[in-house]
Amino acid sequence: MAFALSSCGEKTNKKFNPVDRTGKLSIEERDAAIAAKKAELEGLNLDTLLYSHGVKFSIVQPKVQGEDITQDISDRISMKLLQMACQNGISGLGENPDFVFGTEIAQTGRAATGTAPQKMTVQYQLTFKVMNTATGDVYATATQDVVGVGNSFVEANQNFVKEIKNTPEIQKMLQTASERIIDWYNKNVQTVKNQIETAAGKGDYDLALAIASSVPQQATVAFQYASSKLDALTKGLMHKKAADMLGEMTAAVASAGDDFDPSIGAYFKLIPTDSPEHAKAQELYNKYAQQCKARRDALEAKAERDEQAAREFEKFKMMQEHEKELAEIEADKIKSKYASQASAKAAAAKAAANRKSGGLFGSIGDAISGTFDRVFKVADVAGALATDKLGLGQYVEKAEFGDFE
Amino acid sequence: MKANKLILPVVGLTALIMASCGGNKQSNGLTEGASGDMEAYENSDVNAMEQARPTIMVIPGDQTLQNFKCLTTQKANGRDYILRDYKNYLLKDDRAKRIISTIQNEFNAQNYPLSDFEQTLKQLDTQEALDMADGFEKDAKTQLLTVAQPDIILELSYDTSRDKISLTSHNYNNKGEKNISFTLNALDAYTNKVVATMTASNIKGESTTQAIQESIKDGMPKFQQDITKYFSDILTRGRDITVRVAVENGCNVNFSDESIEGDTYADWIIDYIKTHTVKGAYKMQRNTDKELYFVNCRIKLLNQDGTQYGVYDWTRDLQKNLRNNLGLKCTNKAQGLGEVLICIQGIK
Repeated sequence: MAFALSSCGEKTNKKFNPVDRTGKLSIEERDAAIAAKKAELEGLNLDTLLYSHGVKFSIVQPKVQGEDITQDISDRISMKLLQMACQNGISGLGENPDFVFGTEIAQTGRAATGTAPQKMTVQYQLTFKVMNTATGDVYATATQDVVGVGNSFVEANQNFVKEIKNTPEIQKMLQTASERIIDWYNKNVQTVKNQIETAAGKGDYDLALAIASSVPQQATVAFQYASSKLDALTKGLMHKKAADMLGEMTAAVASAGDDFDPSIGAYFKLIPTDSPEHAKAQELYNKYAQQCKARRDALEAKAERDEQAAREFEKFKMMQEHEKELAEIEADKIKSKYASQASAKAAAAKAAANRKSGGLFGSIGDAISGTFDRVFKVADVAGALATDKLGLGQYVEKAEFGDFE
Repeated sequence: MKANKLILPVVGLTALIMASCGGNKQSNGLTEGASGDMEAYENSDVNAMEQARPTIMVIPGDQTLQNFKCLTTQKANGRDYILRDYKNYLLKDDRAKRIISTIQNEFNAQNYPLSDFEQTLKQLDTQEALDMADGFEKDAKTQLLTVAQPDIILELSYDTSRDKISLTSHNYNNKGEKNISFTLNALDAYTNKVVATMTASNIKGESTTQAIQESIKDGMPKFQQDITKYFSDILTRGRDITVRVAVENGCNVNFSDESIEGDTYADWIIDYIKTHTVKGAYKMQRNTDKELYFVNCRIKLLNQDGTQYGVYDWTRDLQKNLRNNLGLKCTNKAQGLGEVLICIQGIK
C-alpha cells in the first residue's frame, strides 16, 4: 500500500503560478507614508511624558508572598517601579516619606498547559498607587494584568516580572499624581510650615528634615519656605548625630592608620563646633594629621633615593593638597545618608501610626525602611547618571546587577 | 567470544559499503544514488497537502507517564494541577525509544517521516538558550507557544500486568503470565478529532517491547489507511478548523451589540462564516457577549494562483472585512494549520 499523501493531491489540475504582490503607492507616497508612520509611533513614545511635572516619589517594596513573590522578585519589581518613577521625574528608594509609589500584587490565576513540554502560567493583577503616607490619601491608581510563563511555577513567577510594562497609562497616572501633589502643597503651605516647625521644636530633626526635603520644587511657596529651613534643620540633625559621627570618625582613623582617608576630614567638618563631641574630634583629627605628616616626611626623604617611593610621595602629596575638596564630597555623601535615614525613620513613624489602615499603606514604613541599604546604591547610580550621562536602561541595569555596591 | 565473532564481519561489511560508496571522488556516497527532477515537479499539479505538510509526532499518553511516576498532581489555591515530566519519562522508560522507532519506521516506509518528540524537546531547549544569547524578546504568548506543536498527535499508551496465580500452587517460580496492552490514537491537534486508532489488549509474551512492536506492525496498514482517509477528506471537503472570535480587555463593543449595518456583531460574523466556508460547513459551540466559538469549519486549501490558503489567510480576510465593513480593529492570532483566533480590539 502506498501511503497516499502524495497521490492525494494529483487531481487538482491546478498549477503553481503565484502572482507577485504589488504596492499601489508611488515612491513619494511611500516615503510620506513611512514618515507619517514614524511620527505616529514616536507619538506613543514615553519620552513625551517625561519630566513634565515630576515629583520625587519613594518606592515601596512589594510584600513578599510565600513562594510566589520571593524577596528576589520583590527586589526586581522595586527596580521596575524605580524605572517608572524615574521617567516621571526624580525618584529614590526611601527618599521621600510623604509620597510613595508602590504596587499591590494579587494572584488572579495559575494554570498548567497540556502541551509538551508543559508550561506553567501565573496571572497577577498589579494595582499601582501613589499615596500620601501622612494623610492616607491616594492620588492616583492604575492596574495592569500580567501573565508569567515558565517551565515551572517558580520560573513563571520569575518571568512575570519581565512582563510588567512601563505603559503610557502608568506614566499618565504618575503625572496626574504629581499634579495633585503639587496642588496639595500649594493649598497646604501653612500645614507644611506647622509640621516642620512642630517637629523641629520637639527636636525631631529627622521628621522635620524629611518633611522639608520632600516638598516638590514646583510648589513654589512651600518649596521656598522648606529650602530656607534646610540648613538649620541639617545642622540640628548633625548635632543629634554628632556622637554617631564621632564613632564613625574614630573607626575611620583606626582603619586608616597613616594612610590618607578623606572621610575623616568629612566627619570632622560635620561635627558641629558647639557640640560636646567636637573637642574629642579635634584631638582625634590632630593625631591623624600628625600621622599623615610623619608618613609624608618619611616618603619625601625616601623619594630622593627610590623611584617607587617618589611616585607614592607624589600621590600622597596630591591627595593632601586636595583634602578640602575630597572631604567636601565625602561630607555630602554622609549628609545624604543621614537625610535618607531621617526620611525612613519619619516614614516608619507615620506608617506605624496609620498601620490600622492595612494593605499597602499599613506596610509602607517597613517596606521603605527595608530598602535603606539600597538608598545609597541608588544615590550612587544617580551620580553616575549625572556624571557619565548613562542612559536610563543602563542605569537600571547597573542598579539591578549591583554594579554600584 | 561469540559476540566478537559476529561484530567483526559486520564492521568489515560496513567498511566495505562505505568505501565503495565513496570510491568515486566526484560524489558523496550517500547522495550518489539520489535523483530528482525539479522542473517536472514544479510543472506538476499543486498538491495542497504537500504545500502545508502536517507534522505528526508520537507523544506518550498520560497513563504511561503515570506508570513511570512522571505525572504528578499538585494542589494550589484549592485547584489540582497535573504536572507532566516528559523529559524524565524518556530517560526512565527504556522501551519508549524502541516502540516509537517502530512506529516511525512504519511511517517512513510509506514516505512519510514523523517528527521526533525527543529531538523536538532538545531542539526547543537549544532554541531557548540561543534566543537568550541573541537577546530576543519573548512575551508570555511566545513562551507558551514554544512547545512541540504537531498537527497530528500519535498518542501512545501502554501497560503491563500479570495473571494472578493460585495461592495453593506450589510452583513458587510461577509469576503468572504477562499481559500487555497498548493504544495508539491519532488525534487532530486542532479539532481533537480521533483520526485513527490502534489498540490491543492482553497480548501474551515476556518481552513487552517485542509484543508491542509486532502488534503495531500488524495493525499499521489499517491505521495508515485511516489517516490517508482523513487527508483525502481534507482535500475533498477542505481543512477542518476551529474559529474563535474573542474581544480583548477594554474593548468597547460586545458581540450582542448592534453594528453599523443593523445586525448584531455576532449575526454579521455568523453570516460571514456561512459564506466563507466550504459548502457553509461550521458548527457553533459558544456564543457569549465576549466570545464566539465554532468548530468543524471547512476552509479551502488553495488560492486561484496555486499558492496555499491557510488559517492565517482566512483570518486575515475576516479581519479586513471587519475593519472595512464595521470599523472594528482586530488582531490576527491564528496558529498552526487549524486554529483561527481573532481578537477584537474595538472601534478605534
